[in-house]
Amino acid sequence: MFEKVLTQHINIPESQSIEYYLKHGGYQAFQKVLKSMSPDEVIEEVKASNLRGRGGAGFPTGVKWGFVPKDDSKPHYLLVNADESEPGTFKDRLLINGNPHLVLEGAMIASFAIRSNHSYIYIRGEFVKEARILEKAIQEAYDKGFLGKNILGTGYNLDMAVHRGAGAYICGEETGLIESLEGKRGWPRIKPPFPAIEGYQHSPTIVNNVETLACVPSIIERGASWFKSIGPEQSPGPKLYCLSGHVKRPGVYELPMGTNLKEIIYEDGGGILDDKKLKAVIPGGSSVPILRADEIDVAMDFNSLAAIGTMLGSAGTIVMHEDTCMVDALLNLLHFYRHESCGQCTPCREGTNWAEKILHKIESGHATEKDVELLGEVANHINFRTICPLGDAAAMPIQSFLKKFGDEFRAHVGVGHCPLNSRL
Amino acid sequence: MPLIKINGIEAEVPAGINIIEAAKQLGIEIPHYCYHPGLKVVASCRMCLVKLEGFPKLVPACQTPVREAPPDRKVDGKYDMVISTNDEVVKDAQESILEFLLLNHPVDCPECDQAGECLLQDYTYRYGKDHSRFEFDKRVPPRKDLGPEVLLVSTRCILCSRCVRFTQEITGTKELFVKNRGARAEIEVYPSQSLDNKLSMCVTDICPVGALVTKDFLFKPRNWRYQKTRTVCPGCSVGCNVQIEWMEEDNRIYRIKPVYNEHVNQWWACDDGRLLYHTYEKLPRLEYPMIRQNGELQRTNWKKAYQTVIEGLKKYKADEIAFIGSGFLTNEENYLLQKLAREAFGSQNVALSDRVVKEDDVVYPKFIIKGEKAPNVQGATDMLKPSVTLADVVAGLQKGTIKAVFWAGGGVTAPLEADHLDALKKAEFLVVMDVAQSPLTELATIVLAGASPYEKEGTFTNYQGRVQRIRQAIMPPLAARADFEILEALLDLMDVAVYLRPKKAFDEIAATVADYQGMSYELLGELGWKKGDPVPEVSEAQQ
Repeated sequence: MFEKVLTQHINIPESQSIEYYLKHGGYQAFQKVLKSMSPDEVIEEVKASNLRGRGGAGFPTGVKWGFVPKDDSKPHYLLVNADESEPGTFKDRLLINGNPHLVLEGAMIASFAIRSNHSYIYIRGEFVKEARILEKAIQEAYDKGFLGKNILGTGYNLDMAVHRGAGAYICGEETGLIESLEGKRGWPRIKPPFPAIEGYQHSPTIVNNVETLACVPSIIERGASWFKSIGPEQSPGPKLYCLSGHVKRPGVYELPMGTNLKEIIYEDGGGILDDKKLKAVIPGGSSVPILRADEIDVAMDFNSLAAIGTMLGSAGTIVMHEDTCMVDALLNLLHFYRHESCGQCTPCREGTNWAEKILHKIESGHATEKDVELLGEVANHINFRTICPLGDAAAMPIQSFLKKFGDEFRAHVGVGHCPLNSRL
Repeated sequence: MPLIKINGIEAEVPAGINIIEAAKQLGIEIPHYCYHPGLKVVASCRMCLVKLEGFPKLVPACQTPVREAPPDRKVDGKYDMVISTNDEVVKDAQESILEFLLLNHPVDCPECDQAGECLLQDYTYRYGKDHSRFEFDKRVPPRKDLGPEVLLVSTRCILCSRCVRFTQEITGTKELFVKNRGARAEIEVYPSQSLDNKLSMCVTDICPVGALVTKDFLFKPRNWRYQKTRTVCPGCSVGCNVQIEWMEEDNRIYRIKPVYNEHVNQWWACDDGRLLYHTYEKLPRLEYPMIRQNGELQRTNWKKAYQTVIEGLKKYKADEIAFIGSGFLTNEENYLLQKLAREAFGSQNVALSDRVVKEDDVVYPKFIIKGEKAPNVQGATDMLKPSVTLADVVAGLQKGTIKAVFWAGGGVTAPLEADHLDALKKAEFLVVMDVAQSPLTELATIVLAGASPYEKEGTFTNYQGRVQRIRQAIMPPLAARADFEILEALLDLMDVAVYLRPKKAFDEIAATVADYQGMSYELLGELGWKKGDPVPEVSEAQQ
């Protein structure tokens, strides 16, 4: 039986307080790290655990930490990416709400590992309540001596603060986040240099997702081999799946990495709303390629999903039943990406805007076959040609929707209205 | 040096330069908008995407430096990089970027001042489609008055952000920013600010399209109709390299733009320098030589003017005559002037006028504008080797030891002070060679109508000691002549020497003036030669 690691205390009213957290073994891992481990040992342990980043890209966390220079004179920074804004994704918010100290402890251990004395939590602007929760939790940690100067008499100093974003999806991209934190426009940076070498204030910087950091204390406490025993060895650990859309029980489910998508939808999610037929699933947040109903017998982990041409992403699983108009669904997504494109590079700025207009035309039933082709071409012209992945994130859904539901797009041609009578 | 191959052409190029510059050395154009060699690389326009062997995605050429590959990573065992700029994938990318950029562009070339020198036009011809597939309403962001000299026609903007980076990096004044997100993004000036730095018009040079335009050039004739003359700006002692755009039919200047010179002004020039031609246009110019008869200046011809100058000066003893040179005259002219003094009339009273407008230097992070508002004070000092000062001459006039003065102006000088004018009133014989009427010409016995710095040839030496050629764009008004010609004629009449052209005078300077040894017009080339530097390699000027 799988034992919940991240969300076991989540629904208990007092779980936000440091007293509750300490009573249930909180901050033990951080104390262990401070008192008996070197930063390199922490990095090695996390490397050995095969923990992969939960923000979407799935980059091995320990490897990322290892990129930070070990003997430079610049300050290092640990930035917690709590700018969760990918449509279909709502797991970090839950963690912050239900277990803020777990996130803080992970950030503290990560800071220690990368020899950082400064950590910022960059939180999505709309998460006002969550920002207050984190600020309170940070204050409690200062009061108990887990933050500040000479922590627990070990000589290690760490300061932590919350920085609220101003409402841009693009600031969840790590270099956009860094620019924003520096007080600039959230335009992603060109790489190299990578943040681990030159990030916040031109100094070595690690940006980690909330869920990623929440996995760290248990790895330290129970060891890498325990962590690796959960789910597939190449991308192991507990995983939060955000189930939304046409399911009976939407919500965040903590399950072992690699749980079958079908099982998540039909067992945890209780099946399709109104017992209708399943039509499609976006497995990893709005930017990943969509799956048809016949493709959902797949393990939800980085490698298995990559093998069938999609991605785990942020594990934002969006379920759509038979009444969904796929053109309308794509139009909804494109509206988001057009609105959130930062405007820095040409293909994304112009392409998302154009694609949304074409989609609108298709959905209203006034398009021609040529428009459907053109839509695909616009997506191809955005994909892989932008500075940051937002361009790809807009292009991939278009490409996959057209590939898998092309007939439905063509069924809209010349009808004069949406054949499914959805929104327009 | 790394061995690279671009489009099948092999070459060794220096490590560290980017692929755009490397390709340029091989004569291959990689189209680009946001990249500018003087600004930080942002790689945002995506126009310069190229195929780089071993990389899954196309890479921006501006952002990718040429580098040595480790021995086991060389392509075909020997190339450090193999690049294609004409592969089908690259062509598709170029065509699509242009299509994207033109979606909302008004294509108002017929009324756009940039037409003919617009990279959007040029690249569309070379790499783009001949039609638009965009059938929706175009975005129409408003026109903006950014500052005293610059307008933004937002509809034409492609958001390359060169202008924003210019104000961040070159002037540090940061007046501009990008407002709004995505397709609604616009260039904007910060609230309650104005794009009013002294280099503001540079943003119109680096704007690759017609979005940023100068008010001065708005709706003027098409740029291909102008004669173009490379010269040096006479506005201050920096000596920015500029191109004068002028028309033969009306003998007028229409625009002055900076020209790249890595040693002097890089790509930039100040607004004052660009607009200085208006000051010269508005001067009450001297158009004929004039002689005072019965208290009034009367128009005369040059032959008579020359004779009168010589006969007039000959009446005085050598130490009763003073010659005043100027930081507005070329080296050649100042050289001839002191020769006229010392060799023709044996006078050692050679002074350099200090009537130069002096302001504070304007210092930006990457540019300096000198407060000394004359182009050749350094060169004039080198040529004249002044043996007295203007104050000495004034004192001499007051005491009556100096009775005749040959005064050279040559440009927009600082006004003379009252005590100067008092002293000059005492001169029995005053020759004024200048460009415009002034209180001084009111006192003159003879007025010689000279040429402005835009109207003649020669060399200037800037504050760093860099000797640079100036070239004639327009003609001097009516009968006015280049000061060189005037001085040359006088020397000829005095049987001292014949020069005919400034070049010949410069050869003599190169043979006789210490720091100018070995110089020649050929060796000065386009970039000039700084005194004391080794012989420069003459190369084509980089644009």
